[in-house]
Amino acid sequence: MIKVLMVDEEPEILSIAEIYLKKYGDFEIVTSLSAEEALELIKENHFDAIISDYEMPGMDGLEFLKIIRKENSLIPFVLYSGKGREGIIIEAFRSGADGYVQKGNNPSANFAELCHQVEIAVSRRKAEMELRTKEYAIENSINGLAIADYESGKLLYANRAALDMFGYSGEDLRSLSNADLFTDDSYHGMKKTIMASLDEKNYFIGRLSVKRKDGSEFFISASVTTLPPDELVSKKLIFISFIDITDVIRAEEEFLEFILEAARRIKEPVSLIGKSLENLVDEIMNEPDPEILRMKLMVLAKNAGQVVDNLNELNLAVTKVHGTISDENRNFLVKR
Amino acid sequence: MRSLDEILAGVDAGLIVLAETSAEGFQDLNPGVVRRVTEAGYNAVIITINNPSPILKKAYEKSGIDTERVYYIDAITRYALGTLPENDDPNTCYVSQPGNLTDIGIELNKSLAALDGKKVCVIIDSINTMLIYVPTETLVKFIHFVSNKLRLLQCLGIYLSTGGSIDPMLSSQLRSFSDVYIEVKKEDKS
Repeated sequence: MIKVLMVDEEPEILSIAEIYLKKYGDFEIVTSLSAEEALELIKENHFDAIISDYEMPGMDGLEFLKIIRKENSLIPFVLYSGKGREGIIIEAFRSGADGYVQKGNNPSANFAELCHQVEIAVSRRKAEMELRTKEYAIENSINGLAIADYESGKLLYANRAALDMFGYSGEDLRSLSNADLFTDDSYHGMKKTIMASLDEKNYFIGRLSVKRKDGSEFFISASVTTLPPDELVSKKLIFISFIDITDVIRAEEEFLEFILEAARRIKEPVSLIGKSLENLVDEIMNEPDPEILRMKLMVLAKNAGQVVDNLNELNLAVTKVHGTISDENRNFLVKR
Repeated sequence: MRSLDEILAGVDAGLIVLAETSAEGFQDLNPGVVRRVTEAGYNAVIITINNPSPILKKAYEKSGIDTERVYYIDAITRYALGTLPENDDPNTCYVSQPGNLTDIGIELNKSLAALDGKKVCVIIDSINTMLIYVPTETLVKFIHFVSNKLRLLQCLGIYLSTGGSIDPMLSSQLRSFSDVYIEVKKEDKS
């Protein structure tokens, strides 16, 4: 149901309009005898559309429209007037009217036209609002979003987050293609991988090494899909959604470095100590020099002690990073 | 892959060799390498972290190595045994602990200066043991420093390590500092 505020100085017209509009469409009609009163009603109620007479005592329909638009309201507004002057019609549309219907002698046809114009205006505004909401979501998404031509790779659209991540402006977009976003070394390999996946599965999900306008490299996690041509867009397009995962990659590299260091300074030394002890067992079986045996065992004991220190050092680094380990547990983890 | 003997026979000055062996034969690697190096006319400077120098000396004597040509920078004896041998050996200097790379570097400089004009081979025994006492980053810097020093002074450098116990990333870095990589098999050690 469309809730309409109808404004006219003549109560009879309002009564007839209510009857006809309800007959022709799914309307709820609220009436007002002046623009001033209508403005008060608008403050307190929600309406889907306004129908207003032009010629009214006090504020006329055009002034009323201008105030509505000045207050930043995009509510559909149809001017319904006995005056059919061209100047008024032009002024009405310039001021943001969505329709104009001239009062005539055939009320049935007249209100049918008014009903039609209101429905079109409401429907159009609804579609505009939906589109704007989608645009708002896309433009303000913290994910980078971009659309490129499938054949040429030329970028056709990139949202704010995408431009910010790559350090480009909207102006730069016109001359950009996919190739500009990759390092020279990685472009051909990545293009081949992505296109092969698109051809096979119609999507690609993966990590990509890319470059900013200033040439610096960073990493993104991207999902790429193809958009087939339709009645509005004749070309096949590529839709790319991505986030910057440079921090994640760096953290993974640090983690890898951490576990490699743990292997180098804990696992392998323990293995070496074990092997040395096995060799000492063999030596014991062959009447060893007690002094040499003593020295070797003391070295192994020191090595083992150092391995514990290394483990403590790494434990300390980990417990500091996470900050969720109790003092009691931390003391146990790093004790000698 | 060239053998150690082939390298010693046709060595260019300033060559850095990364020598790996299996964990089983690691204890015997050092005497085998030192014997060949000294037999090839080199004075060997051993940076030992793996075994105290008294153990090495006995092993060298047992292997018939000319110990007059062997010099020791011993970074483990004082740390592991707490005391130094009573008989003062002019060929041996001691560093407080294996992680004290600054002092090891200073002693290496002194040894190289003392052996100036002679054929010198510096042997690090071993990369694996050094990794127990110093972080990887520090070790890599030290190896880089030593390698540059030896190349500059036209000395031979041999770094001993246990094969397979060093991760590919570090192994690749160590190989990049070295001119030659060799695997010393068990039968080669005697």
